[in-house]
Amino acid sequence: MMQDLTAYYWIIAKVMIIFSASAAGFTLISKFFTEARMENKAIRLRKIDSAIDFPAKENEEVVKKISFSLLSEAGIDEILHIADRIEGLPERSKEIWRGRLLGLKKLDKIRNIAVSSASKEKRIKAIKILGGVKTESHVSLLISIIDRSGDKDIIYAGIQALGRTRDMLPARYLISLLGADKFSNSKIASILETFPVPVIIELLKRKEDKDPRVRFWVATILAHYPGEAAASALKDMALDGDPNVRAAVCESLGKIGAKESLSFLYNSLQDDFWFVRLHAVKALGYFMSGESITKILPSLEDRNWWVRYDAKEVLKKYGQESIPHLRPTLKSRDRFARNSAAEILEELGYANRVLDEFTSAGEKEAGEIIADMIKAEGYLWLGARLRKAEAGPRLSILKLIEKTDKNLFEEIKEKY
Amino acid sequence: MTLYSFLRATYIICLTYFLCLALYFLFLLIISFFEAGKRALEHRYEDYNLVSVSRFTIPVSILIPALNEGKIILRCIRSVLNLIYPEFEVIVINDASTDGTLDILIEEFGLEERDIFYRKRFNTSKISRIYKSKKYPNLTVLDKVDGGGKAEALNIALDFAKYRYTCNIDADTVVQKDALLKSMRPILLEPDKIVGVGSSFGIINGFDIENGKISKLKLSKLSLGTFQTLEYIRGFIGNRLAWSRLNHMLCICGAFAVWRKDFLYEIGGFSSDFTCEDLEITFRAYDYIVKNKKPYKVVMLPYHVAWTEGPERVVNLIKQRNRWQRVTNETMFHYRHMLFNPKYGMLGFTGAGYFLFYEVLGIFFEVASWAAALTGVLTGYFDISQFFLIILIMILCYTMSTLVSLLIFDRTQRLFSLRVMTVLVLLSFVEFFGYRQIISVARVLGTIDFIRKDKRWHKFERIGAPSGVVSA
Repeated sequence: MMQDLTAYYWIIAKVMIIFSASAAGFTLISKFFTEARMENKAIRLRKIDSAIDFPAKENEEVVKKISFSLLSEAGIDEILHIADRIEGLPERSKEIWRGRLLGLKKLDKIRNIAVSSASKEKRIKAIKILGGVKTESHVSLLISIIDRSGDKDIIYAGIQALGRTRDMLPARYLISLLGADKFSNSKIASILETFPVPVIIELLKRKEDKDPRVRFWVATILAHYPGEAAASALKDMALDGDPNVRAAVCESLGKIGAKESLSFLYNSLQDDFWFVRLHAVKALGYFMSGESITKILPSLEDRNWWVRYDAKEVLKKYGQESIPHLRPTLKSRDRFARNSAAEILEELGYANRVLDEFTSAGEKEAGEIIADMIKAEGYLWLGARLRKAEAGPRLSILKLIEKTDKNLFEEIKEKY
Repeated sequence: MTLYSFLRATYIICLTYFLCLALYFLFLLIISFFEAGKRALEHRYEDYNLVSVSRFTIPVSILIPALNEGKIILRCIRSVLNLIYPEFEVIVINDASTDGTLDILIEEFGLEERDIFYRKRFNTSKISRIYKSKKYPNLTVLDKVDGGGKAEALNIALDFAKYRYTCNIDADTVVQKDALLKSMRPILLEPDKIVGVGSSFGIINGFDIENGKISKLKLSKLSLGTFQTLEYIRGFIGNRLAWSRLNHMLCICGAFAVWRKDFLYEIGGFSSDFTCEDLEITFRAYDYIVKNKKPYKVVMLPYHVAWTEGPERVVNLIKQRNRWQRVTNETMFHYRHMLFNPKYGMLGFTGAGYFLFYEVLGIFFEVASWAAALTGVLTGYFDISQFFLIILIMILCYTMSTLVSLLIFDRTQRLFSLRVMTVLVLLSFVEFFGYRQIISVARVLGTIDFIRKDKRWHKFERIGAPSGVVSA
C-alpha cells in the first residue's frame, strides 16, 4: 500500500517540478520581454515629449505638422500620453492638438472602448483620453459611463476625466455626485477644487440643497475660492440646521478670512455641538485679530478635549500678543487651562525670558510668573535650564522651586 | 504498533500535509494574482500629484517607537521627514534606550524640551521629557521612563497623535517617499470602512540609501538578507494579499502599519501581554469586527513602501524568528475561539486555520518528516527514493509558492532588474538547503520558549548599513 501511495506522490511531485520549472522560466522570460517592451515604450514616449516640447511649439504650422504625424501613428498609450502632455502647452497650441485629437479616426474606436471594452485597463485609458478631448458630447458620454457603471475604478477614471475638462457642465454633474453615494466625496471635492473660479456659480446654486451632505461640501469647497461671493454665501449658510454644515461654514470663513464674520464665529464658540465649536476655534486661528484672544481663552476650559486642544494650538499661533492674556490663565481653576497657558508661554520663549530676568536681576514679578508656571505644572523646561545654568543662577532657580513646590524641588534636585 | 507502521503513518501524514499546504498556497496565489493586478491598475491610474497637494488628503500621525536604535534611527526619521504627503506629524518614542538614541536625536534635529499637557487614555508608564524639534515643527520626541515595550510606547504615542490615522513605523525601517500616498489611497476612497492598511516592504540589506532615499537596488552579495527578501515577497505577495482579498488579513506587520486611531481606542490599544504587538492587534481587530458586526476592513497592499533591516547573522535571525514563533503561538492560543468557528466565516478556516496548521504546527510536521524519513532509511524500512520524495515535496511546496510570488511581484512593481530576478529565481530552489533549517531551528526554539512563557523581545544588534551604503 505504501508503495502504491508513494507512486502517486511521485506523480504529484513530478507535476510540481514541471510547474515550478515553468513558473521559473515564465518569470524570467516575461521579465526579459517586459523590460524590452518598457524600454521601447519609454523611447517612444520620450520621442513624443521632445516633439511636443519642440522649440518651435508656438509656431502654428510646426505644431500642426507635429501633431498630425504623431497622432496618426500613435497607439492608445501614446494618445493618452499626448492628451496628458498637451495640458501644459500654450492655449493656441493646446487648441490645435485638441483639434487633431477630435479629428482622429481612432476616436470612434476609443469611444467604443470607453463604453464597452472587456479590458478594464483599456477602458480607463480610453475614458481618460475622452477627458482630454473636452467636447460636450464627450462630457455627456463620460457622464453616462459614470452613471451606468458600478465599478469604482471606472467611476473614478470618469470623474478624473471630467475633472480635466474644467468646464461648467462637468462641474454641475460632479457637485450633484456629492450627495449620490456614488464615490468618495472628498475625492470629488479635491477634483472640484481644480476647477477655475466660475465653478463658484454652480456651487452657489446648491447652497440650499435639500441634502446636508451637498451643503456641507459646498461650504467646504467655497473656502478654495476666497472672495465676496463665497463669503456672502457662507454667511447665508451660517445658521444651517445641520451642525456639520455649520462646522464647515466656520472653517471656510476662517480660511477665506472674512473679518465681517467674526461675530458669527464668536457665537459659534457657544454652539451645542463640540465640532462646531472646534471649527470656530480653528477658524479664529486664521484671523490673528487681537480681540479674538479673549474670546478663545474660555475654550481652554471647554467641556470637549479637542476644543481645548485646538484652542491651545490657536493661541500659540497668536504669538506675543496672547502673552498678557495668558498670565491670568496660569491661575485658572481648570488644570488643563493652567497647563496650556504655561505651555504656550514656554513655547513662545516668554518663560525663558522671564527666567533670565529673574536670575540676572532677581525681579520679583518674574519670580512670581515662574512660580505660577510651576504651580500650573509647566516646569519641564526648567530642567533643561538647570542643566546648563552656572552655580549662581542655578541656586536661585532651585530656591524659587523649593519655595513654590517642595515635592517638585526634591524631584528636580535629584534629576538635574 | 510496530516501528514500521508508526514510521509509515507519520510519513504518509507528513506527505499529505505538505501536499495540502502546496494546494493551499496555490489557492492563495491565484487570488493574489488578481488582487495584485487590481491594485497595480489602481496605482497606475491614480493622480498622485493631486493627492499630494489636496487639502482633502487625510493627515496622518507617524509613530516611531525606538529602543536602542541609535545606529539606525536617523536614516529612518530622515526618510519619514522626506515623505511626500500634504500633512503629517512624526512622533518618536524613545523607550528608555541606553545607547544614546536620545542624544543623537537631540543633536540631529535640534530638540528642545517642552511642557505639553496630554490626555492619558491607557495605563502606561510615565514620560520623563517631551521634545519638539526646532528644525522640523512636525517632529515630537517622547522620552519614556522605563522600557515597557513597543506596545506601551505605541499607546503613549497614540495619546499624543493629533490626527485620526496613525502609521506605525519601526525605527529600523526606511520608507519610500510615496509610502503614505500609496498606503492611504484605499482609505481616501473608503474612510468609513477601512480601519487598517498594511503594505509590502523589503529587506534593506544590499541596497544603497542616500538621504533616506533608496538610490540603488542591488544584490551585491548573497547573504541571509537575500533569502529574507525571497521570504518577504512570498509572505506579502503570496499570502497576505490573498487574505486581504478574502477579507481576513490577519497580520499587518509592525514595521509599517496604518491604523485608524478611534478604532484602536475602540479595541483597547496595543497589548503588552504578548511578545510583540502586530499580529495580536490584527487578530483582535478582526475579533472585534466580527463580534460587533462592524463593516470595517483591514487591507493589504502589494507595493514595496518601506525597507527594513534583516538580521545578517544566523544567531540574530534565530532570535528574530524565535520571537515571531512565540507571538504566533501566543496569539493563536489566545484567539483559539476563532478557529473553525462558523461565526467568523472564511476567517476561521482559511485564516486562523492556516495560522494553526502552518505557523504553529508546521514545525512539528517539518521535524516529523525529517525524523520519519531518516529513521526509515537508516532502519531499512524505507528506500532512498522515499526519503527523497518527502524532501522534494517539502522543497517544491515552498519553491512553487516563491516563484509564483516573484512573478506576481514583478508584474505589480518592477523594482528588480533582470539580473536580480534571475538570482532570486535561482535562490528560490536552494533556499531549502541551509536557510530553511535555520528557520526551523528558530521555530522549534520559539515553540519551546512559548511553552516556557518567555515573552522577552531578545533584541539583536543592528549593523546599520548591512551590505548597503547609507549616507546622509
